Amino acid sequence: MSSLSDQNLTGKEYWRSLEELADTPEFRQFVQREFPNRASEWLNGDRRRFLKIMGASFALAGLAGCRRWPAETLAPYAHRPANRDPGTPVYYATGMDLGGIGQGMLVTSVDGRPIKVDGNPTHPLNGGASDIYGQASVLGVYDPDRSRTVMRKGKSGLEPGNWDDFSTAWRKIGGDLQKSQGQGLAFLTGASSSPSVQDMLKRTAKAFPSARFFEYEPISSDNARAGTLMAFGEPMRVVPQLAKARVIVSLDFDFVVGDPLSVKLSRDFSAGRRLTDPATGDAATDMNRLYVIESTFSATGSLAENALHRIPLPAQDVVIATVAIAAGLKKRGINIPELPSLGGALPEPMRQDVIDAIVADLLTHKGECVVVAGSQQPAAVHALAAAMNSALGNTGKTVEYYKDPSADRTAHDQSITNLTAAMRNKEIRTLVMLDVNPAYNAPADLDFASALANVTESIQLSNYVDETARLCTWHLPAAHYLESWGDIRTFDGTISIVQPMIEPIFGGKSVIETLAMLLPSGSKTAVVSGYEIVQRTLGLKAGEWKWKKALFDGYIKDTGWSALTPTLNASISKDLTQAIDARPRAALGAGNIEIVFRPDSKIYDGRFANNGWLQELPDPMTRLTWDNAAVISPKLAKTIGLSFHKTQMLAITVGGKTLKMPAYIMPGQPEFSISLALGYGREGVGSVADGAGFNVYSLRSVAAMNFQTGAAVKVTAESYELANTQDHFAISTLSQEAVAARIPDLIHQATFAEFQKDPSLGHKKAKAVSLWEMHRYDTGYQWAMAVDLTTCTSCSACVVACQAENNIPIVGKQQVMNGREMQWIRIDRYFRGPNADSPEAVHEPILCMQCENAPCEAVCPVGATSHSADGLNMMTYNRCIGTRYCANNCPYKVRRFNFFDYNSGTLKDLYKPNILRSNMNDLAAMQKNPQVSIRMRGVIEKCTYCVQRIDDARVTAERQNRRIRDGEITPACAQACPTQALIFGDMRDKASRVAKLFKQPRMYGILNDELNTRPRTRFMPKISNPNPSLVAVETSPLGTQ
Amino acid sequence: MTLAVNEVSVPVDFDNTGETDMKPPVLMTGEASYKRVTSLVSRIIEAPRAPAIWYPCFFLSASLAGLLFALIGYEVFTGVGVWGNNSPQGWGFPIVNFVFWVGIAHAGTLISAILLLFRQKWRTGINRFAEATTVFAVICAGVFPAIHVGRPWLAYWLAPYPNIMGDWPNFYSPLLWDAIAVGTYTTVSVLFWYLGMVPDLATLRDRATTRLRHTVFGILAMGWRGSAKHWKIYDRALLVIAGLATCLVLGVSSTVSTDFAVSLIPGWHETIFPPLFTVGAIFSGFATIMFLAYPVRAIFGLKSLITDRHLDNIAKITLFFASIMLYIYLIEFFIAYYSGNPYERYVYMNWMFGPYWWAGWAMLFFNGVLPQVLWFKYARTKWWIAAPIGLFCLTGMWCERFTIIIGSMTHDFLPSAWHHFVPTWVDYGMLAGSFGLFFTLFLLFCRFVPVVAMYEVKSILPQSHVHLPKMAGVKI
Repeated sequence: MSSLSDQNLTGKEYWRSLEELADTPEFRQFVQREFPNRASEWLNGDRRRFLKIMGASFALAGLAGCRRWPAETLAPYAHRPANRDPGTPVYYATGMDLGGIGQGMLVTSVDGRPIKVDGNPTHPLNGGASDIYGQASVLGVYDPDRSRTVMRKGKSGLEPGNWDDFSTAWRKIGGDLQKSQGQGLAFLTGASSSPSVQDMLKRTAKAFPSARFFEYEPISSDNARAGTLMAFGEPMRVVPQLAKARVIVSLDFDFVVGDPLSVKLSRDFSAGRRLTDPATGDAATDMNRLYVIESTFSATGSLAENALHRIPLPAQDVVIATVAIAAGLKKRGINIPELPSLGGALPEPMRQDVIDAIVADLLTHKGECVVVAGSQQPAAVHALAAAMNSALGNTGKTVEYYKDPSADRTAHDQSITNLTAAMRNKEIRTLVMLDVNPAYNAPADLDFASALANVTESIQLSNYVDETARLCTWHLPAAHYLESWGDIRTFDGTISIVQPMIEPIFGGKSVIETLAMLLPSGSKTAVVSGYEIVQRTLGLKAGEWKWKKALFDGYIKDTGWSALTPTLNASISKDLTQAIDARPRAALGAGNIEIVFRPDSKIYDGRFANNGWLQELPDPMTRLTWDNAAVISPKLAKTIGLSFHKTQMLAITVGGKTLKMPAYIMPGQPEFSISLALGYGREGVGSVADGAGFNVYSLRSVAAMNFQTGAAVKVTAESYELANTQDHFAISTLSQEAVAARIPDLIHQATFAEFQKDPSLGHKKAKAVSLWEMHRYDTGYQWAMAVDLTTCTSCSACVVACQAENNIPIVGKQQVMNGREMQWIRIDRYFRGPNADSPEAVHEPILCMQCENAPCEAVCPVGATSHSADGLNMMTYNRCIGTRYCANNCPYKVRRFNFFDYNSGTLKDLYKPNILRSNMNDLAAMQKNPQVSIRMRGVIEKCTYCVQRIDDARVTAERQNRRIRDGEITPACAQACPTQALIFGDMRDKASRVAKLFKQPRMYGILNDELNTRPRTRFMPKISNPNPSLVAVETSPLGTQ
Repeated sequence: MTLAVNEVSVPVDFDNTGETDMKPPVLMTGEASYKRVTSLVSRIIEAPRAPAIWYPCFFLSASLAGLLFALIGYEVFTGVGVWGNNSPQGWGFPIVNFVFWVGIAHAGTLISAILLLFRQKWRTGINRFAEATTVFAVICAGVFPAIHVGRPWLAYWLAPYPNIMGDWPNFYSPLLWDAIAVGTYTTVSVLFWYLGMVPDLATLRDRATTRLRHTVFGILAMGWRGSAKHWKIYDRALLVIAGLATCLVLGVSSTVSTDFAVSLIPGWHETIFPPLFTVGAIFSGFATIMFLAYPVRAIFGLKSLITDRHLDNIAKITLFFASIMLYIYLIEFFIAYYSGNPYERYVYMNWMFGPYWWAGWAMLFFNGVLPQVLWFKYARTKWWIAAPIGLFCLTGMWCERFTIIIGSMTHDFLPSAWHHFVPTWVDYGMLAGSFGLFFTLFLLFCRFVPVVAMYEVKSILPQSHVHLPKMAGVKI
């Protein structure tokens, strides 16, 4: 639909992007006849009417893409149109762009509302899996804080307008610009993989020959581009193929979380670590090995084989480690270009024997190893990684290079610098910013905001009235990717068509539509709708077989590029030496601390800041929600006198700017390096984003986009409360010891060598002796889930997927601090290791164990939780009176209680009596999965293994008179998991994957030995594959903090 | 001084605590006549005004009780989240308070029922107000389980009643046992209390000078005429209910303890809990009486009826149960160590050295150690020692409930789920409010109902036992 609050709603405007039919007088007459008195109600955002009208409208038929349903479906369904079953989910393939890389998505839509986004099973990047960004993106469509109208600058700031106002104004501005060939016109865009965007920008450049184009992305892969330019002579896209790699060396690359390629990289990485093939039950004969050299304890770091395989180094010193490895290889006869000698001792805690071991491992796995570098590392590290991969014969095998679709563009940092300089020089009079927010995320030293004052007309298209919007003369509401037509390219160039699932709720426009609007209206046939632009760019016609197939598949086959086979540049040695020597490397100390800027693991660069699911998602390592913190090493914390018992504010001063933010003491953080997550500290964006965390961009300078030395920190007297889902409090020594003692029981760990020697890992099949006959679950289906701790990366996609599927509310920071978070899955994180400076971290996803001997069931006085014949621990919300006894008696603490009516009102008025709070937000209600009850306050809820999906499959199977097939049911968590760490199925079906895994003697049930709960969710021990020469010293568990 | 047969009189300040050759011992000081008993008790009710201190006390209590009901309203309309409860701590203050009040509710019945069965005559001086504390404490206790549930308006689903949904409660659940036990106990204690009052109510009816009094007490006295037949039936009934109540004294706290003992949480999953809770309940009940008896007899001038001997006996029982408590605590700690179960060991360590150490130590010290002072007669008979000890014992008992419920639950099996419990202002308000409710009821009771069972006291006066000639002619 068009904007719910659009001021000037005409029939034409409203149906603008639909059939020409909408414009006909007949149509208008129809609308008026149908809703003669209701015209105003289109405006007030009443959900029921909105849905009613929408349901009855033909809008979605048109949107479904193929125009298969012409005007007939306009009328209410007296006769149900073909292929439309009210209430039945329909799945559409589409795509989402993140940082210039497209992901293929599969959207579940119910009655015209997209309610769930998953990975497209056949897409080369996703393979059915997804990351937290994809999963959470559906919430973004229904964000009530999204920008609802066109706004223009008036006397009292931004005043609401409409698209007509803007197009009238642009006719004048654009007309003048056309006369001047676009003199003084500039465009700023974010990274986009879309061919249509590129095409539209080209057309714009043609229409305004003197216009200037800039691209800026705060989290950029420019270093990889620069590195490949150095190594191969042209910028390329680096795509590690980890599935083929047996030895992986990560140079500050957190590849499992927060990278646009994370889904693929995680999936490939786990392929080499899956010790039992679920399909056959066969044991793997080989396992890959991961070394991580990193500046922040990341989820990837937690996957390193042991504490010796993870070297915490300040970001600036990673290059030293890289050079050391390269030098080692060179010494062993590998053809590595001449390297600069860095001299001196290796920085602590890097050890020569570890480097030697890495070198030896790489050498024995030539062609099946890979060195990968993180985007925040300088070009030299990327170049050196490329050189090593090339020399080790990995190119084309474990690492592929693809052409960069915009090879000739200026680097993002340079581009934004140039733009700001031009603005300051008053060279730019009209600036069009498309889906970017530079006032917030441009390097602070450029002071974009003040430069913007020099621009006469600043126009921004954005999803939110954000930091930039408030400084602009025009703000245009952007359409969400689920609301608009578009196209994307994934890492290898394969094109997907982005098809809308719903009309733009707030009347927003996509980037391509906006560009089309800005183009001079030459001919009458000018293409303005995204639908047509995409068809034109891709050379496809709606209705054609190819077009239909592309929409159906979610991508267009054979549009990918073939991998390049680059050869090393002759001058790489000189360039490298120059680059490495040119980088200042300061001697770090308590007075000279390094600051590392990282994309946040949850809200990325800040674009997802107003997404409640992501804000409330615990960070994989810090377990923080709703905030970012200065992640600091225990040693430095001690040096500067930081309290270990309460969270104190740190004043971080770098480059003359000071930021106060809370400190989080993280074991395994390099001593003199503080890690800061970008994306927080938003202002005036929305109820979720505002007040969450601290704006780290304010410390970032264009010269040091990724890390900066020379920072000073001071402990202030202020304290702060962080909402942490684990270790909510300082843990005493007593508890530390208790935790340490029990971790081995909770998380079984072993090495690959031990596994090969004894696949049972010492687990003996204990015979449970019972005083009475136990219930035998030996009929029908018996659902169970196997969790592989070896492949779990803690990426948390399962948590968000579960939240989306099961209508789990968010509770807000205060309630997380109170220990009332609602996610049905939590990913526990424990540290272990010889010391707090370089520990190992292990993760363990905890969801309902669906115990056969469920402690929760016996204690419920009203029988609201009971066991199903197929082994599910069920929850009857209607019967629950909320004694919380079940939650108390659950040894895994997986039951969640609705302490308030989280679904109504806002998070700010939870403490108000219900009668004073508003009903559920109309928009939020649209996202809810109609197959799952919305829980009211006062009842318990918990993981159900997605019982609604089980029942769906059961109905289908029974109608077809067959058993449910293995793999037919996938709970949301398992569906999202990029590494197939969660396998669900019928354990009675001997052929099922889960049964084959359950047969493995190493499977264990948490606390089963202690409590005989007989859990159905069982775990495969975390197995690591340490280099035999780097078996860590006797590791004693360290506890949680 | 020589006294005539049937007319024993000792000074009001007579120290009747020691062993004397008087059998039975003197249980009423001052002039021990029927008339005086009646007038001592009745005048409290019949006086036009209560003692001056009654008014501020009542105002304060009633305000707190009002606060309790206001907060209940707030909670019911808003959600359980207004308390500090969280995951893992699902129960928090409401259940701490519930178990605490249920414990206090044990003294009255014990004194009336068990001491009745054991023919302890001295109980007559204190049984009425001890029973009153039982009833009021049960009321305070009963408030909490009903409102602590997430959807209080459906709390009646706990009851096994035939319904159209065909749903029965889950008879495996200790909460159901608990609801039934407390429900039965409330019924029986109210019955017992009321039944025990009927002859006294009749006395008040007969003494009534106003029509209103006459009517109200007339209705309450249920036509009691004091005929021999009445007395016969009455004694039987009282005995039957006493027998029932005795079982309940032992049963109710045991049942309450199964809420914890039947669960599998370390620190809850204890076979010793039924005796511990029962002993704790009786202990806290006696501590309450020990604390309340002094002000009651001082304010309402009942020193003749609630004599030092009564208080001495109460203190002795308190000491006895405190010693059992101490023993059980030590056994608990020993077994936790001896079990070798790390979860169990940790919980007990955490009780004493964890974040709630203060509650753990308060429990051990106030319940087990401090009452040992009562070995000394001096301490047992001095109001400024005994009454504060009673109060400290109550504090200790509340801390015990806190330690068990919160100290254990916040640190169970998976360390990742550990979380502190921080009470909110509503929690504190409701705790204070429950005391308000208790004292409001108690003060109303003192003012409008015979505080001492007149007819029972009369029955132990020497003149009721004419066949004990030795009573006469005692030299003092």
